[in-house]
Amino acid sequence: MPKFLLVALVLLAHVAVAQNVEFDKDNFKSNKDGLKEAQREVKTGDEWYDMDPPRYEQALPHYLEAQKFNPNNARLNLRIGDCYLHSGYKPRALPYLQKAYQLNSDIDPRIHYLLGQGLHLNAKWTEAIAEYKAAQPAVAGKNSAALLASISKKIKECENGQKLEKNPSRVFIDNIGAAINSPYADYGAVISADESVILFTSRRDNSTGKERDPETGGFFEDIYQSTRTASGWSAARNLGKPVNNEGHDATVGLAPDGQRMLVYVEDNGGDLQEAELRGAAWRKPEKMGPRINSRAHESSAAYTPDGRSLYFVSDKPGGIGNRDIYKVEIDGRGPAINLGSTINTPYGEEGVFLHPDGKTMYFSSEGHNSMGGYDIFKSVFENGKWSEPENLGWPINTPDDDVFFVISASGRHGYYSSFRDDGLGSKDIYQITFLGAEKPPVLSQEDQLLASRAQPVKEASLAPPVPIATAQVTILKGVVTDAASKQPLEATIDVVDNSRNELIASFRANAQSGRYLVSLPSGVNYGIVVRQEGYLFHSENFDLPAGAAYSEVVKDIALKKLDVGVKVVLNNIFFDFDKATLRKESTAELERLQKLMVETPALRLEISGHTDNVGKAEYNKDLSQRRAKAVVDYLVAKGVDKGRLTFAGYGDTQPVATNNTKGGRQLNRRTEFKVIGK
Amino acid sequence: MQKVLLLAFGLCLSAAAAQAQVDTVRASTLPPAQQAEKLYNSGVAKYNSKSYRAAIQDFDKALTLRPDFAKAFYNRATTRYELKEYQLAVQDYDQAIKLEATGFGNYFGRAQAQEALGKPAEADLDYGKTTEIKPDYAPAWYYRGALRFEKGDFAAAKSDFDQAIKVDPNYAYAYHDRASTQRKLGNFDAAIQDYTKALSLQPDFLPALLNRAAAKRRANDLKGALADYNAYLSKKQDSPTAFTNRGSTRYDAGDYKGAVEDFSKAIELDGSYAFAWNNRAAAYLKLEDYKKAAADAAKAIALNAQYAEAYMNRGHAREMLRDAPGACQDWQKAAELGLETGSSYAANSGCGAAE
Repeated sequence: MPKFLLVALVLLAHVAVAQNVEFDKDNFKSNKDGLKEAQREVKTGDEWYDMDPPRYEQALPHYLEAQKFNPNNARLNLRIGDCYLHSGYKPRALPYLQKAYQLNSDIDPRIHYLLGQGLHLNAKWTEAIAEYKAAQPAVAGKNSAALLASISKKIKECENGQKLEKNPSRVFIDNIGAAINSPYADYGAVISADESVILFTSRRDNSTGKERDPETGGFFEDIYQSTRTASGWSAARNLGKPVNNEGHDATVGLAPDGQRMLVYVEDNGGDLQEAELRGAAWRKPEKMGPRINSRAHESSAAYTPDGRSLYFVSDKPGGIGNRDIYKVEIDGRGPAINLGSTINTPYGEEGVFLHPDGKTMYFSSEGHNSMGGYDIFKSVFENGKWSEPENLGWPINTPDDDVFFVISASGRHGYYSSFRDDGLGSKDIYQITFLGAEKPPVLSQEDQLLASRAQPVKEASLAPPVPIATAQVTILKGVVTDAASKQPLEATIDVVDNSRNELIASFRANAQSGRYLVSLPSGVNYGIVVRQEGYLFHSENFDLPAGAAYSEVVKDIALKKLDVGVKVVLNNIFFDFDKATLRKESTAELERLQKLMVETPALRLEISGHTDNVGKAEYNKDLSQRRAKAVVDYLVAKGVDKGRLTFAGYGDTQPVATNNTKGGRQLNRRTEFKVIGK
Repeated sequence: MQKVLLLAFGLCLSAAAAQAQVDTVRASTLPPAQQAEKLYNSGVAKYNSKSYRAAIQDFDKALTLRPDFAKAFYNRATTRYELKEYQLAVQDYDQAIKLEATGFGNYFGRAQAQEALGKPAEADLDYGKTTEIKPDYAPAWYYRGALRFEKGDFAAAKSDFDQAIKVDPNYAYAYHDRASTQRKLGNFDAAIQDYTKALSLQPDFLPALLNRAAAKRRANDLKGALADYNAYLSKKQDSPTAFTNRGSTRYDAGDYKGAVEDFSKAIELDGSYAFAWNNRAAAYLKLEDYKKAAADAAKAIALNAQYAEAYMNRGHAREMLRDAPGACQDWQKAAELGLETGSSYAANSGCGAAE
């Protein structure tokens, strides 16, 4: 191309984009009506934009109308860019800001700062840093120190982003679908540990009262629920009253078993309340007391898996930053404790969530190595302290706010909300599938290694092991029923640490469905006791060594009424190997049995020992008898009348399962009691 | 009867030479012992002209005339070896050894026949006996080294190759195989050195070039490895293995497109070469072309239903294609076939337990 032509083209292009076009008659002689309409739109837009505080969301549609008429006005482009920077679709600000600058580089003293933000939000890290740096000299006025600090922080965020984007997290991020998301804002998803139930907040048009919030113009928040079916999530339904009311009702937390929910309400500067599921209906949310709620803004919270403590976010005075995470024992007396400076930063923390393993916390923070706005972080409580928070990385985190993240017990799926181009409108809920570290492909190679042999030799495949982050928790769930009527029971489920003989947590099965779910972090020998008045208790044992990987166990439990002839297996009685010596982990179960004898004075029991078919029958019979006797001896020593107890050793003569499998043999080795009188 | 037969054989042997006819007629009058020598010589001549069946008949006759003719047993054994009648060869070597216990060739020959019969332990013993009788006979050390290599006893193999090289410093094969042994022992620099020596002794010994390339690849000298593969492929373009292995090296160097080209070339040369299909699947995974990766891995599996690596790669591709159950099946199959990481991939992807 001849040089002069190139110069001419460049000049032309420059002229074409750099010409600022005002909304006046001289520029639009042929379309006066159009001009008038556009001027009206600009005026309406300006009215919203110039309010204190500015109403960007309302101003934007008017500006966009005017932009259709005249796309080359620097002021309008700048204002559209600024509106977008304050909307859910922040990255869209960039082309307008760039155009404003091209049309008039002196359009606003903040232009470099705004351009920096536009580029930053589009993850154009290097260019953003350059604009932020260009913005620094122009900073003046009484807030200059704060603004300079903010620019420095944003530069740091861009540097963090550059690093994090180089090592992206391997994830699928999928819109959770139209059963849950709507054209309105959908966010704040919380899930039960097994992902069978999801609750979330939505501002859709069927909200309770159907009123719009005069401040934002959107519908008031309501809480919705969906359950997982074989074909996906069921259509979300409004929880209705008494949970949802005319004002804002937002869900912020759900117990792992889905039986208790934490709700955010606007009272008292923003407070947390708790609602309980009874049968199929949620009860009216109740206040959580002054140890949790202050006059400040308490905005999000999460239960510990034992349901006894609460992690929550508050901006009450005395924190490290403007919003901090605190922990409090729900039924205790002590004050809420700030989690300290490993977690809380001088900036904001928000959206706390505790994994059912009881030690892994997810939260959002504007501090640490955020790449912009709030990023989601993970920290693990080990050896008495929280680990350095780890950024969940790109593309989960973005330069914009990423908040209210929850994760399934398996660690496989996370849920959060985000503005994305594939959304159904406004903010939508997305499911993140964690794929883990890259799985290296494996190549094959062979060579003719021996000169005298024609046959090539295959080289061993190099499949380097990859670090695996598996959730260390077992989910035990099922349905509790009456053994005779098969009807669901609202039984109590006690979780006991056998080695410490300590009650860890108590849950109730759902009154209507009999469903229960308990999450059992690895590293404990658990006794699970299911009890209900008028029934004999049922015990299960889960010995989960430290490091045991995630598993989900479904165990339906049928409770038996106290009747003559009924047999109950005592799964938490342990003997030394090949001996009749009771191990100390049996104490809790023995005490339960003793309590049963005390509470039911007429009760008479036969305690029996059983073995599998390994070893000699005579020996097995003798061992099982000695073991049964050891249990009886314990009870008698604790004051139970000897006459109410008999013992028997049946060896392998009464198997309850096959002896051909390891699992079957384990079931057959057991201590049992049978009611022989009541 | 015997005379007629001999004559007939003589006619066969040199139909055109009148002189030979005369000679044969004369031979028929020789004393028996000399007749055996003559038949033996005739057998040798037939062996040399690759008329193995005819040679055997001569040796048979020689041995009928002189049953203690150790060399005839040896030669008949050697001929039978050529005819792949290894068991009969072993029997003849047995006889030769009975008659001549100090002949190292008898042991060496029997070792080779035992090896051919798939009896490496017996062969190892016979090679050992050969080295005892004649320690400066390099092939005995060399072949025993090869056996020990195949057994996976690389230290012992190396010491045998050391001996072979000691007694014959120009033994290219011994250098080559010692290099392979060093490679197996993880001594890549030593391996590269020995392959280089083998090449300098025998520059047309191209497999050494391929092996040196592989050793360099293992030693992370990808540039050097590529240079060797290029040198080989500039001389010979008929080896799918060479293309596949250069492709793997390009893959290691992050040149996934170049790798795909090489694997494709290998497939063009031999469409049934499963390694090339599998490796191309791996390269497509890196290029994030998961459909092609899954298809190539599937082709490799169709060629070899027990191909663990191909299942693994197809599992990775299926995961990215959002076919979670398919990925699970493949990873579990890969684990079943020996690539244990498959189980942890399956477990961490929420796959159900393997059926």
